[in-house]
Amino acid sequence: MSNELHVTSLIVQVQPDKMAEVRQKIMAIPNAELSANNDVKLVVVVEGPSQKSLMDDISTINAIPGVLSATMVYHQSEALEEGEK
Amino acid sequence: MKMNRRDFMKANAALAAASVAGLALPTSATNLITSSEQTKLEWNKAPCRFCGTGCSVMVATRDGKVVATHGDAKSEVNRGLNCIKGYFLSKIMYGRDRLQTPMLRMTDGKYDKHGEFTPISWEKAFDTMAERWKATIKAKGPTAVGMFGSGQWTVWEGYAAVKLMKAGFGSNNIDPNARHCMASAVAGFMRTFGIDEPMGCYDDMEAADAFVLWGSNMAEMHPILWTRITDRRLSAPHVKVAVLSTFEHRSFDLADLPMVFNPQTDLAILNFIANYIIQNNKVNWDFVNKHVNFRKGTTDIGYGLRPAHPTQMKAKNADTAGDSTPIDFDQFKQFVADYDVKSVSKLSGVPEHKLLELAELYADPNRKVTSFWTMGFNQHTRGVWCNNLMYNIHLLVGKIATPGNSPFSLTGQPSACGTAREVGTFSHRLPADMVVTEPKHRAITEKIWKIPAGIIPEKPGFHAVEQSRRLKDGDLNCYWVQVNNNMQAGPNINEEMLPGYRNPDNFIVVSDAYPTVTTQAADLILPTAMWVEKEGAYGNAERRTQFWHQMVKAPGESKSDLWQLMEFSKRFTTDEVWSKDVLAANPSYKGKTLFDVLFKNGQVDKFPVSDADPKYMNAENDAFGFYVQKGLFEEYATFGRGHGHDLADFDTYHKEHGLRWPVVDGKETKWRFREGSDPYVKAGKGFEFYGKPDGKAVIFALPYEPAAESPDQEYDLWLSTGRVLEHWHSGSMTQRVPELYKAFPDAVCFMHPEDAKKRGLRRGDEIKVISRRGEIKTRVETRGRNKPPVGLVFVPWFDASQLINKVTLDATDPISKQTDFKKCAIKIVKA
Repeated sequence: MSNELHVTSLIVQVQPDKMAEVRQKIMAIPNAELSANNDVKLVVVVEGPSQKSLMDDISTINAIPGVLSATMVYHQSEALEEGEK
Repeated sequence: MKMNRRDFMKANAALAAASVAGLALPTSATNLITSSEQTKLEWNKAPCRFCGTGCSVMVATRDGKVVATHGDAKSEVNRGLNCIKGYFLSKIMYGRDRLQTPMLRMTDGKYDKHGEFTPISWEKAFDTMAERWKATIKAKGPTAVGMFGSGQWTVWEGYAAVKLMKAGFGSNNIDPNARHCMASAVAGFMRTFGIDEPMGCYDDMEAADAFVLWGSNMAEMHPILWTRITDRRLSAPHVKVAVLSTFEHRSFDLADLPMVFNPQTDLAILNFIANYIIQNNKVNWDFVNKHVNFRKGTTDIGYGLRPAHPTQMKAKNADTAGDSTPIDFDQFKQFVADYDVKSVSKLSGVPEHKLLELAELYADPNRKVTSFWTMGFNQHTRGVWCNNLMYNIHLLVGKIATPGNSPFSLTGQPSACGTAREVGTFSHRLPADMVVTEPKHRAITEKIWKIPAGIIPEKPGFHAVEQSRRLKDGDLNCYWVQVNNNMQAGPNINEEMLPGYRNPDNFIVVSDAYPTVTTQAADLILPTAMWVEKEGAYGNAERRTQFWHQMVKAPGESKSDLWQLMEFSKRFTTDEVWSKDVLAANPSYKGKTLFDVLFKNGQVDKFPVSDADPKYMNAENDAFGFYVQKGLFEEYATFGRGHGHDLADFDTYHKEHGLRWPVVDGKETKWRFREGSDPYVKAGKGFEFYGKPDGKAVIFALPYEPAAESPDQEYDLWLSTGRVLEHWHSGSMTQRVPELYKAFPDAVCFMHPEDAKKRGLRRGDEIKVISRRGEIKTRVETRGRNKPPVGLVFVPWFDASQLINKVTLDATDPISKQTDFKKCAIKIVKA
């Protein structure tokens, strides 16, 4: 079991008429969390046990109809202590 | 509120993204301190070493290793963003199979063309090379040695290479892989404007009312620029985006006006738009009368194939391909009149209403238009024509050199502009747009380089594709490849490339950081320092020059290309390479080494090591005892200062996040050729295309002509090749980053479901892609990001296990000598 925690944040550009659907779909992804947004842009924070898992979630977000781009801004990884969650 | 570590990391990540996006977060989330982990890192700026966008990235080192990167918020190019390749930059230097020692093919301790790669010392490597170079020059003269470099060379590496070849060995046989990438753009600029590189800059993206993509798939190839266009489109509803391509791709998602056209018919569409502008009285007469000349270009110019190729033999004007004669507006009007909407719609396959809507974007005087293109125009047997025809349109309506009005030639490599083009590492070029065929240019160059008159040959050397042919034919025998993977990138590998590398008369040296198909085909491999393992400078697509410091040590015995070039020059004396006549007339040069003449010339060695910032390491300064990069840059910069190519002084670039040339009186230039913006335009002129003697740009009458090879009964499909988002070029770096490899592991053949069905194929089936020249095995993909129309397939070229360039044709643009990788005829069968 990996004891690492990876976190990345994305800026997602969205066709305005698809914004509601895109938000719904992102909320359904277990490791993704919606943050700030306006009509055409939202910030998504993705966490996971490995970079591979982040990449998979980013690919999923990229493939949602109405998503024009998903660009990474920040990435951090930390080794978690025993009992930390 | 108490936060645990997970919450803290997530809040930090959200804050970083929200501030880049310009979005507000709830105040609780913004009340953060810097992570303790962050403070242990040493952060510095460096331009990304992949595409030509020129994003600036912040690079973190810890204990001598690059551990993290993020977008540089202070950069005007990427404003804190990174694409997926830039995001994983920190990993490209740490692939497990990094080359760390020179290796020579040997049997029983001796060089043997058929031997096994055996580790040797640098001393032995250079001894072996020098012996071959000297014997070859003695027997056959300087035209038998050559070099193939790159738009990934730093500015000073390209400059040192061109000096070593042209001033040292007296050979013009140096060409960059930018020949495969930007040569048509260069020739297009020189023909229309008389000076290279775009007049506009990235600021055009926030000012334009319409964007037209000609072939370019910016969503995948220039993703950071695409986010800027997307921002503009989404924040200003009147903005329109038109996307033209020979197949549907990711950029179509944003398109208001999507168009798939038949290969090669872009020429006709461009002429149709010019015709539409004239027929609808939308010509900007004030602009055209003051700033434009008209000329008619030579036609039927062939396809840059070998002279004995049947297609080539049919061409009437292959030898005068670049010629043109003056005409007037009425003759031009008559010339484009044939390109009416009906016939062009039929030829191109684009519906009439879409062609009209596209033409109106350009014709409407109230709409500012920016056009983008890259390999679709440039890798084209009529690539120079495409570039010229694009400028025709912008010039007819005067939509040029003002914010948002911009014909913008994008770049594929990080320093195709800064190094290959500006330094002039092409077989016919010299620094600052000068050429070897012009006696005055040779004289200027010889004077700045402090070498005797008559050293630089008048005749252009072998260009990229010609080098491969001459290696095969045995005319070129000593060959040095740096910073690129040409055996994968070049066309028609089986017939025209591999035979030359393995020709027993030839000795092939390849400098690289990783094993590639090119190193495999070599006789000697030299391990090379990359990116922030050396001090560097790149120039991006908007004329922005950017510097970086050396931040880490290169692994093992790896050395920079610059060190390799300079160290090798010590092995030769002028008596061994220069003609007796020149030396007799200039006896003071006798007996000197090329290193003395080229680099210890009182200019390059002028700045002491103490001029360098002591905070950073510098392997070249340690080796040679003077500030190598500064000396080379300052000597090089004298070529352009006062001639429209002005660069700032060396130290300035280490402080700034890049500056766009010409930099005059400390100020960069955003838009060239316009009064008030470009200091070279004289007062009262309004606009001045000062690359031409009369200050006028040229509109060219040039027709549609068919492709070199089109589908027929047997080879019944078009093949187009290109890149995907996750991999850059041949994948020699990106394939070593596990996350990128996993995202797109193996190349596939994108095809239309009907084309698959017709051949009894299903998604995932193994197939052979076969041309008259070679074949590869790959798999069918009928879904996914690229959707070709019936009759065309697309195969990316990053995958070394599926060398699609065994299949492509070595047809080139006869003017630019750039290969057309976008069009040849193939068939597909089940494997």
